[in-house]
Amino acid sequence: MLTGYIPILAMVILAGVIASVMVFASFLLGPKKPTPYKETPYECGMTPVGSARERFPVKFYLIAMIFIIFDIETIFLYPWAVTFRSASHAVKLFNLIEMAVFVAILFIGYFYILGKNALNWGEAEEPTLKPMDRDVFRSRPPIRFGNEGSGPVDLSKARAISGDRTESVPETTGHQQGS
Amino acid sequence: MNGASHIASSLSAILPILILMGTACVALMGDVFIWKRQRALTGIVALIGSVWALVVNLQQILGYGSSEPFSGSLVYDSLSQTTSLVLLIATVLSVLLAITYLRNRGLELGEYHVLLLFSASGAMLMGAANDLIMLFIGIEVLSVALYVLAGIARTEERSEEAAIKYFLLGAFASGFLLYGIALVYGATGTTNLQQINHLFSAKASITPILVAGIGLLIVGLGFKAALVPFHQWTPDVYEGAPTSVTAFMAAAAKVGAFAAFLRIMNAFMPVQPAWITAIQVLAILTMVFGNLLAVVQDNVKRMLAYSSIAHAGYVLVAVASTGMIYRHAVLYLSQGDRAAMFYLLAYVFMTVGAFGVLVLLSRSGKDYQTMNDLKGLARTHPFAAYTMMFFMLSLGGIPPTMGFLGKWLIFNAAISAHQVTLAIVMALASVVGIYYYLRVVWMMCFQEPEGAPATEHPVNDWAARWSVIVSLAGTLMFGVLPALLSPIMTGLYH
Repeated sequence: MLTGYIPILAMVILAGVIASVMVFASFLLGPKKPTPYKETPYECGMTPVGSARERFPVKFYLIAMIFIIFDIETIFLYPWAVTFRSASHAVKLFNLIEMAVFVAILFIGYFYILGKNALNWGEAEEPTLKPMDRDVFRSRPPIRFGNEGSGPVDLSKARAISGDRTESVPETTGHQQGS
Repeated sequence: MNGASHIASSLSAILPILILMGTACVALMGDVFIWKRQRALTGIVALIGSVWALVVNLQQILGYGSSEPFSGSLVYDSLSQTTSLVLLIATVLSVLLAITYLRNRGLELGEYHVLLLFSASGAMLMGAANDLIMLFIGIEVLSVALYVLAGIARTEERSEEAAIKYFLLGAFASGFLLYGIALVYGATGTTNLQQINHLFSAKASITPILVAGIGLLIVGLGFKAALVPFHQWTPDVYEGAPTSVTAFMAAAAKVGAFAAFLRIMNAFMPVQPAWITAIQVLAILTMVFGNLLAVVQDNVKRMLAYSSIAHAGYVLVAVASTGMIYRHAVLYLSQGDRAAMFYLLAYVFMTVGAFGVLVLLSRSGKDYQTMNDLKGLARTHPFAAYTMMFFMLSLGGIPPTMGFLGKWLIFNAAISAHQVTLAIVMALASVVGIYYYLRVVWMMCFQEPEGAPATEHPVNDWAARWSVIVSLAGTLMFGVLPALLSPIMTGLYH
């Protein structure tokens, strides 16, 4: 009864074996020359400044939620539009009214959002750091990449570009050659 | 039947639900755009809408019709109509409770009434569901609105905690329910309850997948109805939510869940051996633990939460002794179903009334909740104390009240369905219940008020007062003259 599933089982086992062999082989055989640069969370991209645990406006979620409402409307409209043409006249009228009711209900939600000023971003305040968070940033040691002074990345210049954040991070005290 | 007339008759069958939803939309738009400053108007619009729906619902009940709107995905019979009636009574009473209370608590949000109406319409959909998918939609409409309502006191930690707890556990329970629906579909090939019933009537085959499916359905609904192993959220949520929300939650969510229980269990009647033991065990656990845990509570809201768990156990006894009879394609309800519906109506009156008294006593920004708050209430607030006394007597099941009669009907139904163990446990558990209900009465009537008398008197809340008076009138009137309900519940008394 279940013999039809044997190939799938074999594939699952095979996939597991191959994946684990590849991971372990590279773990055992691969040369390891770690530099702190390699061990930063993101090897390419922005130089990390400060903690990732920052506050940001929760309105992002609101926009995401509103998006979902209208996204679903669109998804619902597609099959409706496809089947609309093939229906008879009476059913067509009914379908049209039904979709109008559906859209009207969605628009009540949209008007509610408008009426509540949820889409008005003008008054949004800059998130302010609580004193505690600021202390966390202060006590945090500066990030070193192991190539200060020698490598192509000039950290002090990178800091200067990032602007006002520079004050919250104390200056590095003496450069160290890569660990 | 041709399309247009089928649609017309379908829409007229669900007219009470449509009225509730439409009122909610109108109230929402009005609250945002038209009467921005006068939030009480939203409550009044909601009240008008729910009373209108109640009148239409009564007309439907007295019309004695039955149909299957929307190609059999809903069913419109005496059970769904009576469920709607009970739910609409709960809605009207809860809207009345909230109008002034919200202002006192600084929570005057139009969304409150809108969500309440949506939630009630979801519960009504559950009662009318003839298809497991419709049942799921109903339960979600009911619950999602309730999650928000539980946390509507946004600035209070307890309310936030209640909302998060209810939401997380509720979402989990929905998962169980959905999995149960999937397994039942796997076992039967349909999600339509009537078809499931016909299928098993022809050939009752109990397969493991079916048993697992029914079990998961029971878990999912048991969470909404707060049956014992799934009751952990109840006291915290009931305590943390604003009292008027608690009143509605205790009433509507439970009525909806039990209506769904009755529908599902009646559909699975031919395979009764597959589920009857689970229901029996749950009923015994719920009755025993609900009552025992209520005894040790010092907070009245928590005590009422555990008492609502115990009452869920009693209604579950009625579910265990259910069994609808289809005779000449007309649905006749069994004694168990009738007892369950009667008890749910009694439960709505008693619970909304008891929470209503707490609403009535609440001062600005503070809920009246501990046993100590109630000390000497008979002297300081005689109206609240004596109405509370009747609700407590009714919850305990003392004769001239509806609570007694409901218990008697369930007891009777259990005996005639040969559920003797359940009947005995129910009687014993009720005795424990009387202890903590009478303790409230004792605190109010025979204790001296504690501390300095409150300088701030409760606001004269006429709307909530009327809600309590109507609840009291219902509790006593139908307790003395249950025959008054017979023209309404005729479908139930055939």
